[in-house]
Amino acid sequence: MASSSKTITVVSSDGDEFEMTMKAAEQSKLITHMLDEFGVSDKVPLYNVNSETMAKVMEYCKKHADHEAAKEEDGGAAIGAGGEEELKKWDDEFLKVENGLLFNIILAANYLEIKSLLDSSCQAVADMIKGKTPEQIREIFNIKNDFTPEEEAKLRSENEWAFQED
Amino acid sequence: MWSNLPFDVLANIFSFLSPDSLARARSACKNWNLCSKTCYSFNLSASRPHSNHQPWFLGLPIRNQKPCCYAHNPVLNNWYELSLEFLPVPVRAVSPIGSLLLLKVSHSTTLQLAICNPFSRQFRYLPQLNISRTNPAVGVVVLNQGVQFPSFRIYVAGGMSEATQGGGATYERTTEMYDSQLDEWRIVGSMPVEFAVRLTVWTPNESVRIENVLYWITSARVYSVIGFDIATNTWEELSVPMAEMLEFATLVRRNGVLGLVGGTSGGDACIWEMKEGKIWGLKNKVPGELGWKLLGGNKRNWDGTKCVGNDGAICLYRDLGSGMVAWRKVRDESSEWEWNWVEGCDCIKGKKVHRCSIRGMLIHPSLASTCIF
Repeated sequence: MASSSKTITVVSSDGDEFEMTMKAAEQSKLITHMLDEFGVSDKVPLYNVNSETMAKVMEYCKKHADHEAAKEEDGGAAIGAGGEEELKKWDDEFLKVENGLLFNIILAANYLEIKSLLDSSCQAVADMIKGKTPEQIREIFNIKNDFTPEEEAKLRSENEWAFQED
Repeated sequence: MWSNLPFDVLANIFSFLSPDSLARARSACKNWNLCSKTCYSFNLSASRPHSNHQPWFLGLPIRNQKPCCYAHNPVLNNWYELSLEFLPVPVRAVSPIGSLLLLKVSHSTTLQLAICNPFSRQFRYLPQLNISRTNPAVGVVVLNQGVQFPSFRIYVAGGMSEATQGGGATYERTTEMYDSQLDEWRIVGSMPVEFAVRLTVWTPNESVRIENVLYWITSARVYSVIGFDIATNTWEELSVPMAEMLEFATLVRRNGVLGLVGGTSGGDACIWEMKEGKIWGLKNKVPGELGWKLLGGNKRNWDGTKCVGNDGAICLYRDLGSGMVAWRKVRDESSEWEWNWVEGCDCIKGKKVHRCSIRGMLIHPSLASTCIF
């Protein structure tokens, strides 16, 4: 399709411009809708995403767009089951960033409606929570404990079985 | 930052958490607590693929010294002790129903059923049957898999009922069905007396449902399988491979097909599957070294071995401390299964746990409350 060679420009909240192919842009439902509404010639402003996050999101969209294109090429023969595994490994590595950036990636994926990135990044956060105590969770995510000691004791007793420190 | 994530995003994160991690996450701060309790969060959780939510093995002590059960998280590979003090009466587990447990009241001679969620600590009696009976077979049909709390039907067949005039008890030939949506029992048919006798005398365990048929296996040698076709209301008996020689035998549902797990003296434990034409074919064997571990290095004497299985996992166990041999589906899409050894539960919160006889259930644990209660 001719549109695959076309590019569009998105603008981050910091004012930086990023170019992406149509296929990469299609990874985001929001961008796709905006392009449908307003046409491809204008620059798409994404006020909620800063440059650092935008760069990461661009990288993700490009990778996934390339993967999809390769799948379409020879009916998926080039990719095979191994290809899906590889992409998942790439996603896992891609999300190994410090928490602040991960937080922004999740919000960006949510805002831009990139379902696969949202699910992957949410799963990455869930993996950080698994097996941790509430204190550890608060530390990792910089969460303030806004429960009173009585409230906290009540919470523990509700699911007492789950609070088993080794 | 993280405590102020939009609720839908937070719910997305929580949907990947098993109940133990969720219970701890909801104690982090008020926002997380609030979000973790929404239906949205739980429904999203139910839609996650199998690999994210493998069933947990739940071991219920048969002679309850203290009212509790033991749950194993297959991902973190650890055991939890759950208090069952919220239960008003002593009970025995009959069958899992998704995230719930179907129970029968222990001290009642006639069958009295109840349901509970051991994780959310909810309990409810089911209504009385139309015809009181002792020791019938109980079968469960889950109607819509893949939702948090599916609707279900319970079939009760056979048992002994008091004779109408003064005389002794008789074998009850009627079958009754409970519909969770209507919350009532209906008599749905009757069976030939020889089936009523077999179901009552052998008091079979958990049923296995394959398409329209509920199957039960007799509780001891000589093993045989009884099938009840719900659609046509007919009963039949099926043979079991090596029926006189098996020291334990359990029916399981595996990949949508009827499976049988059993072991013979001095031999391996095997898994058979029922193929077209109701013929059993040997599917797999429990790896020798795992079987050996389960039996505690004793001679191949499978007496006392028990087994539970569902579409995603098959677990062979003995008592709480003996450990388990688990055969589990690796991923949703693939048909790959892998064998694992699971250490038994002998210590909780630093305290030694009494090694006791247990009845195992495979349950999809959930903290969600449901209005079914």
